Amino acid sequence: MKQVIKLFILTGLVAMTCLSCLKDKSPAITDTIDYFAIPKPVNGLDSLIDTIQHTYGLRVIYKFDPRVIDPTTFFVPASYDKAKGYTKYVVEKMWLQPISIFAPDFAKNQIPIEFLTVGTAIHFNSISSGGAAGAGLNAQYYRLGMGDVNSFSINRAWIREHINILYHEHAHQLDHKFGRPKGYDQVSQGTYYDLQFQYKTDDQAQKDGFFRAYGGYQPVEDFATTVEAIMRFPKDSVMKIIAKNPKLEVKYKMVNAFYLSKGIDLHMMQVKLDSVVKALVP
Amino acid sequence: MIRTELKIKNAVLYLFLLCFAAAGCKKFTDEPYDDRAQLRSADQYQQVLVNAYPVRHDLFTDILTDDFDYHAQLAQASSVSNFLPIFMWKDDYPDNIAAGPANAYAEYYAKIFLANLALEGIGAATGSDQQKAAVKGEALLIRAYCHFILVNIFGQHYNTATSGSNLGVPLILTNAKGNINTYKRNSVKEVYDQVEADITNGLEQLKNGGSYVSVNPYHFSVATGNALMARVKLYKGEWDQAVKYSDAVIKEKGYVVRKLSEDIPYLQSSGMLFFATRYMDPSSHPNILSLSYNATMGPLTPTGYFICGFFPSDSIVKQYNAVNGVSDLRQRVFTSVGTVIDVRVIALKFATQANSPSNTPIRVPYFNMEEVLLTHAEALLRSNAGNAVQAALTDVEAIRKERYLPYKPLDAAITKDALLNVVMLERRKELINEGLRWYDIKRLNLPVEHRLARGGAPDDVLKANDLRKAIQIPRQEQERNAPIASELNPR
Repeated sequence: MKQVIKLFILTGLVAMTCLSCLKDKSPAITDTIDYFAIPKPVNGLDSLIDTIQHTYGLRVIYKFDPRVIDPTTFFVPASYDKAKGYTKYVVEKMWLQPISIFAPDFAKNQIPIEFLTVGTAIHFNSISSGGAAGAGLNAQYYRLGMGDVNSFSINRAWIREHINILYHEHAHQLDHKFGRPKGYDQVSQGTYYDLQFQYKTDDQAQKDGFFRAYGGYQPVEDFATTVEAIMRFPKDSVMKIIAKNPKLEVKYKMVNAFYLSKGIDLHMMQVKLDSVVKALVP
Repeated sequence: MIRTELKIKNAVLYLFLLCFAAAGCKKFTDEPYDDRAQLRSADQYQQVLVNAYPVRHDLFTDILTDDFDYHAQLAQASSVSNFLPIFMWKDDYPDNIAAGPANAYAEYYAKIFLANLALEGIGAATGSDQQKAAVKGEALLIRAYCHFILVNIFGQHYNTATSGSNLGVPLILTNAKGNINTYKRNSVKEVYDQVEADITNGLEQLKNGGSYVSVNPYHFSVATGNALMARVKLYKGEWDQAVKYSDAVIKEKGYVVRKLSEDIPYLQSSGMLFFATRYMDPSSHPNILSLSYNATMGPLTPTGYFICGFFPSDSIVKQYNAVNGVSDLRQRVFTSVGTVIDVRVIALKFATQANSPSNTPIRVPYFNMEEVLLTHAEALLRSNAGNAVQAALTDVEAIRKERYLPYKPLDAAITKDALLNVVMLERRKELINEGLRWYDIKRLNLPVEHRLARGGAPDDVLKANDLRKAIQIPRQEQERNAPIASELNPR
């Protein structure tokens, strides 16, 4: 009798094992969509994007699919012509090319792999969020996005100012990635304006230790506006600003050292960009 | 024959061992099986009451009000699933989360159990009559406070005409000893009557408690008992009585108000976290009458950290803006969170950190002098008292002169109605995020609009007389206390 029971259990186990194996042989996943597929170029902008990606490792995105769309972020994609001009003049000529030549380490290690071109300003939480709208998207350090692309024109002043904002948004990414320099937040601790920044002038802000009023909002914007100021103004102008408050000098030195450690001299790049934009838009 | 003798011997031996063991059991069961302390002295009952103070688990009610907006961009995923149903006044809110109605229900009844434990045992305990009176008074006030909060969360607001039939919460005046205990809901009036009786009795006992009454701000005192009664009377609309009890607190403590100008420098010298932690420090803030301590930030999860999801509403935040060159120092109590695009702030009243709310202890007031003064002023202005405006002005100015810079007193000829508006706005601004606005929404019959997207049309409106103002009994209670399942709040 015992032999019969043993045989019965053994047979059951063998049968179960074999049946289980059968199930495993069937593929459980039938989804064959490749969310990361790069489409074949169908127009001049696509070709330009492919070239830029091949040269600099960054892919410009102007068509929005579910992989890119964030359900709490609202904006209008850039129009084709604007996106094309912007990609050529701003992304390639003013940003990637000068960086790859004059700051190759920075280009290699700190440039994101995706760049979104957004036609309008960027609204959060609701498309009707009023005047509260962003210049760029910087929450993920593999992807940068810039708004206002539909305003692009081959205009020297527009392009030069836009690149300052681009460096500002990219500064947020480096902030996310590395953190602000040690002690940076303590320089102006307790004196930030918070939302009251909108009632301050840039002149007052500089006396209070911020490069502009917006930098008085919070340490994150303080850091990014410091970068923006170094990119906007010649070095001697920056020196005059930091003379207004010792806190500015401390913050300037921290930011400058931070960027030098990443392989880029912001003052040098400011000079180069002034030259590049003059060559681009004579 | 031998086997039979052996059997008899064995039987005798077993019988002897059984008798020995049974006799031993008598003594054995005299002692607690798990070495728990036996409550025999008034000292021990005082120690029990240390743990009988409830966590402010009614703080979640702030997100039910017009003081808080939802902001998806700054909402941690768990905040969305945990608190969005509560924000939208749904009955099917989750109950196994860090904060919410279920926590409040469990917490306040758990503390009522401990208060009853003290009340049931203190009579037979050793200790002086004075000490026993102190214990009894403290326990009665704890029980009153807990029943009061429960009825105001889970019942309709007190209404003289209907509170006799409106569903309140079960009154627990003795601890049940059965294995399975069930409870029926008392009416709102019955609960309020019991709360008032407990406070009256408790205050009487505390007055007999002499030096045994704690002066520690984490315990009830005569002043906080009076402050509780003033709040009860205010909620009932018994203005003269509210004036009487708040007056008693003012007479004892004086017009002591937080000196915000002395707090603010800590933002610069020591930083935001230090400022927030110190804000409710009772030793440096005599305006705080009593407060609860919690080892985690749990009760503040919906509103207390950078990605909590619920932030002071646009409608209230703008009230702190400078007007005609006069700034409100309370604006410094808020700090921006998210990006400048989000335009959101949180209040730095308790403690804050960018993430991980489980690791930060918080202190939250049960009562502070600002509430007492504003209760006094409101009750005066709603009463028929002759010198109402003048007396109320004294209360309001005591607060205003510590809040506005440069300070300019209100016009002494201000009308009663205009001053009442000032008082109500000051109450809202002063006590924001302290878990009191919801009760004001209820007692003042205010409607509330809630939006899922900023600037859009309201996704739901809580009407002035909305039945959802009585939060539904938690699901766990419905399942475990069968009779209450047939007494749910009507919808």
